[in-house]
Amino acid sequence: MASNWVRYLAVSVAGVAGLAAAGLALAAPWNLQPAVTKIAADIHSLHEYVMILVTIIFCGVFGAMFYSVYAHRKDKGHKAAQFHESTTVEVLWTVIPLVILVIIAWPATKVVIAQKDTSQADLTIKVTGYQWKWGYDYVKGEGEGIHFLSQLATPRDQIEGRKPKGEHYLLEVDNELVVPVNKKVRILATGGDVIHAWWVPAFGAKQDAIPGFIRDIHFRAERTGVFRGQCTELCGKDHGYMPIVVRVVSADEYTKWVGEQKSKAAAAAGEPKKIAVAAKTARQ
Amino acid sequence: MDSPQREWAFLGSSHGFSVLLKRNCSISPKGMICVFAMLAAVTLSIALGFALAGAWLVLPFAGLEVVALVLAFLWTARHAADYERIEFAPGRLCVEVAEGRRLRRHELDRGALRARHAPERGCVVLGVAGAEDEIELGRHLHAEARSGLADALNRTLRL
Amino acid sequence: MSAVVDSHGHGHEHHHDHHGGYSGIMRWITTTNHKDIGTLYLWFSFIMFLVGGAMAMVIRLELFSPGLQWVNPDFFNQMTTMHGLIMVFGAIMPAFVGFANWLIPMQIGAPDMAFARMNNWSFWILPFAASLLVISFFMPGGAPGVGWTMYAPLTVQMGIGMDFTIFAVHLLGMSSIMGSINIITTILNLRAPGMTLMRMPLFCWTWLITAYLLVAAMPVLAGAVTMTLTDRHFGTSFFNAAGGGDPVLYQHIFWFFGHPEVYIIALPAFGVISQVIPAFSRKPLFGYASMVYATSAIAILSFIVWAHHMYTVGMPVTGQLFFMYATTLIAVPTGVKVFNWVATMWKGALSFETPMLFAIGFLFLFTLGGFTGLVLSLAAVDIQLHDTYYVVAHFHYVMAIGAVFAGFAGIYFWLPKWTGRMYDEKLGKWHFWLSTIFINMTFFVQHFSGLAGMPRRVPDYPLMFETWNKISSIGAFGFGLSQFLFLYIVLKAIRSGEKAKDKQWEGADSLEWTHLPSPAPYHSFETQPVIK
Repeated sequence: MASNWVRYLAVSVAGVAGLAAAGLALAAPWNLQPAVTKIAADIHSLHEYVMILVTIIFCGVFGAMFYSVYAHRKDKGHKAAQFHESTTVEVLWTVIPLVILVIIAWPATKVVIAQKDTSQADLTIKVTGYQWKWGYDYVKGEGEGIHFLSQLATPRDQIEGRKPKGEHYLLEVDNELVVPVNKKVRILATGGDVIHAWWVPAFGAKQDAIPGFIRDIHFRAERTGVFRGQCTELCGKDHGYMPIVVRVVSADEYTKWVGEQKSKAAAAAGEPKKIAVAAKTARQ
Repeated sequence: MDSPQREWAFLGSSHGFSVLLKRNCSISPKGMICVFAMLAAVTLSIALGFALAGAWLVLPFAGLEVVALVLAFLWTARHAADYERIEFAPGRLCVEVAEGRRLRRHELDRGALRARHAPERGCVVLGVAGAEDEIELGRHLHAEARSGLADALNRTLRL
Repeated sequence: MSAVVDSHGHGHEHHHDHHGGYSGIMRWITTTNHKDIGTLYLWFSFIMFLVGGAMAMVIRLELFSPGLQWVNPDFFNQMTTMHGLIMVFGAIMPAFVGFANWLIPMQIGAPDMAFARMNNWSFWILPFAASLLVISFFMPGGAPGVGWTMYAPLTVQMGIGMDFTIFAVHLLGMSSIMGSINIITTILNLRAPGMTLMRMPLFCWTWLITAYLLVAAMPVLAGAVTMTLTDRHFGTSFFNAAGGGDPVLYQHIFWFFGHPEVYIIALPAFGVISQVIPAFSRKPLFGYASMVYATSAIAILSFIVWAHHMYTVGMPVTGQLFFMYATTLIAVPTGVKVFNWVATMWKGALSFETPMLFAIGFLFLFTLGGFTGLVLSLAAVDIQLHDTYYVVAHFHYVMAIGAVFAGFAGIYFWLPKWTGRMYDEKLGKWHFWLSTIFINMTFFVQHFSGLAGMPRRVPDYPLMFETWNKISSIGAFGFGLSQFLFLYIVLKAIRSGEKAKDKQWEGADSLEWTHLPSPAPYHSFETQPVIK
C-alpha cells in the first residue's frame, strides 16, 4: 500500500541517516572538551547526571506514548476510553518533577557557588575585549605589570581558501596568555568598545567583557598544555576571528617567561631613553 | 443552528409577556474594568520598575498602551448595557429602548401598529402606517432575525 | 411571564453584502471580516517564512565549510539578525495570530472579532514593518548585524539600517498590542451563552493568556528599542557606561520582554496541539483544568526567569541561583502539559492523518527541546553552553520545530474547514516525514558542535566542527526545499482538493466542526449558538 511504502521509506532513510550520524560521531568531537580544571570537571559530571535523569524520563514518557501509538490504534479496532481526568495522577505528575528538580538543584547550586568564588587568587589578570583582539594586563601576582595584545594569527590566505587550512585554524594567536599550572587565576573581564565574551571551554570559564564594567571569574588549570577558545558574544564583523589561547606552564617555566617579558618590556621602555641620551650627546 | 422562526414562535402564543432584546456580552462592564485595570496595573508597574532602574523610556509606551486599553474599554462599555424591551399588555404595547445613557419609553396603542423590517436602516420599524412617529427596534439582532422579529410582532399585534 | 432572548449585536458594523462591497485587491485591503484577516495573516506569515528561510539557507551555505566562501562576515551577521527578527516577528507570531483570527470567533460562537476595524489595521501594519526590515538591506551600511537581540552598545555602531529596524519593531509591537486587546475583548465579551470560560476550547485559553503576555511585554520592547534609538542619535546614555549608563541594563530589559516572547510563541502552539491530539485520539483532552492552570503558571513564571539568558554577564551568586531555581520550575507546568497530552492519547482510538503526525512530531521534539532547556537552565552548565550552537539547537527545537510543527498541524487540521477542501493525505505525510528527517539532521547535530565548543553567530569555524556543520547544512537545504511541497499541497487543496465534510475529523468537537459547514460561511454565528 502506498502509505505503507511511504512509511518504510521514511523509516529506512531515518535509519540510514542515524547510522551515518553515529559513524561520524566516532570521528567528530561531540561532547564537552576534556576538563582541565575542577570546575570544568564538575560541570561535566553535572551535565552527565542531568542527561541521565532526563534520558530516563524521556524514555518513560515517550515509551508510553509510542506504546499507545502501537497498541491503541483505530485501525486495529481499539475502542477509545473516555476518561479525561484523574486528580491523583495529575497531582502525582506535578509533585514528582518537583522532587526531581530539587534533586538536580542541590549539586547545581554547589557548582554555581564554586564558580563565583574568586577570592584568594594567586594571580590576577585583566582581560579587555577589543574589536577584534584581546588585551591582557597582569595586575597582581607574579608577573605584575606585564601587558600585551593578542590577536588571530591565522593568515588571511587560509581564511579565504587560497592556502590549505592549518591544524589550529582560527584557534591560534600571536601572543598567548601564559599562566602557571595549579595556581588560582582570577580573570577581570572588561570591554574596550562593545561586549565580548572570554571563554576557554577546557577551563569551564566564560565571562562577558562589558565596556565600563569589570566582572570576574577564576580558574585553576590542573595540567600544562595549550588550551583554546573563542569570543562568544557577537561583537561585530570579526567576532568569529578573535580566539583566546592560554598556555599553561609549570611554575619554573612561568617564572622564566615572566623574566623574558620583563626584560623585553625594559628593552622597549629603554629604547626611547637611549635615543634621548644619544640626542643629548649629539647636541653637546 | 436555530432557525430565526423558531426563536420567535412563542411571541404569538400569549398576550401578557415581554421580550427583552440585548447585546450578548459574556462579561459585565464591571468584569471588563477589573480585567483591563489589572492589565494596566501590571504594565504600569513593570514600566515603573524599569524607570526606577534608569530606563524611564518604557513608561511612555506603557502609558500609550493604557490609553489604548481605556479606549477599548470605553468602546465596549458604551453600548454594553443597551437593551430593548417590548411588553405586551391588553390593548397596549410598551417599548423601552436603552441606548448608551439614554432611556426612552414608548406606550403605544396596539390598534393600527405595524412592524416592518427595514434592512436599509438596519432595524425593525414600528409605527402607524403614514404617521411620522416611528420606533426603531432590533438593533441588536442580525438581518434574518430582524425580519423574523417583524413577522412575529405583526402576528402578535393581530391577535 | 417573561421571555428573554439574548442576541449578539454589533449594531453598527454589519456587512450583509457578501464581501463588504469591494472585490479584488480592495476587498482584502478594506476587509474587516475575521476570516479574511486570518487568511491574510497566514499568507503573510508563510511569505515571511520563506524570506527568513532563504536567509537561513545563506547562513547554512556559508557554514557548509570552514573559511569564507560565499558572503563576508558583515553580511553574514546581517543574515543571522534578519533571519531571527523575520522568523520571530514576521513568520511565527503572525501565523498564530492568523489562527486566532480564524478560530477564536468560530470556537466561542461569536460572529466576528470585537474590534473588526482595528483588526484590519493590526494586519495592514505588518507589510509596512516587513518592508522596513527588507529596505534596511539597501541602506548605507546594510541591515544591522547585531543579532535579533540587538545588544547595546554594538547597536550604536550600526548604520541607518538599525533605525529602520527599530521603527519596524515599533510597528510590529503596535500591531501585536492591537491584536491582543482585540483577542482579550473578543474572548471575554463575545462568548455565546453557555460558553463559559472553562468550556472554551484550549486554543482560546492559550491565546487569552498569550494576549495578556503580549500586553505586558510589548511596551518593554518598545522602550528598549527607543532607548537604543536615543542612545544612537540624541545623546542619551541609557546603555553607555561612559555616560553613566549600563549595557547590561539593555539585556535585562530585552529579556524581560524576550522570555515572555518565547511563550508568546509557544502557548498558541500548545493550544493547537491540544485541539489536534484529542481529535485524532477520539477521546477528550486529559486534564483540561490542569492544562489551563499549567498554561497560566507558565505565563506567570515567564516574568521572573529572564536573566537565565544572562548567566555570563557576571551576576552575583544570589542572582544566578534565583534565576536558576525559577527557571527549573517552568519544567513542572510544562511537564504537566506533556503528560496530559500523552494521557490523552493513552487508550484512545488513534489514527495518524497528517495533522496528528505533526502533533506527535511536535510532542516528541518539543519535549526534547524542553529537556535541553532544563540542561541550559542550570547556571553552572549554561556557563559552558551559553552562546554556543547548543543554545541554537535548543531554541530551534522549541521554535523552528515546536512552533512550526504546531503551525503545520493546525493548517492541515483546519484547512478543510477554511477552504472546504481536503489536502492530499499522501503528500501531507511526505511533507511530514521529509520535514522531520531534515530538520533533525539540521539541528540535532548542533547539540554536538555546541557541546564541543562552537560559538554561535560566527561565519567561519575551526576544522573540528566541519562534520557537524556539513550534516546540518544538508539538512537545512532539505528542510527548505520540503516547504515548497507544503505550498504545493495547500494550493492543490484549494484548487482541486476533494470536497471536505462538515465534520472532517471524527473526533473534533469544537463549535467550528459541530455547528458550521465546510467551508465555514463568510458570516458565521450571526445567529449565535447556545452551548449546553
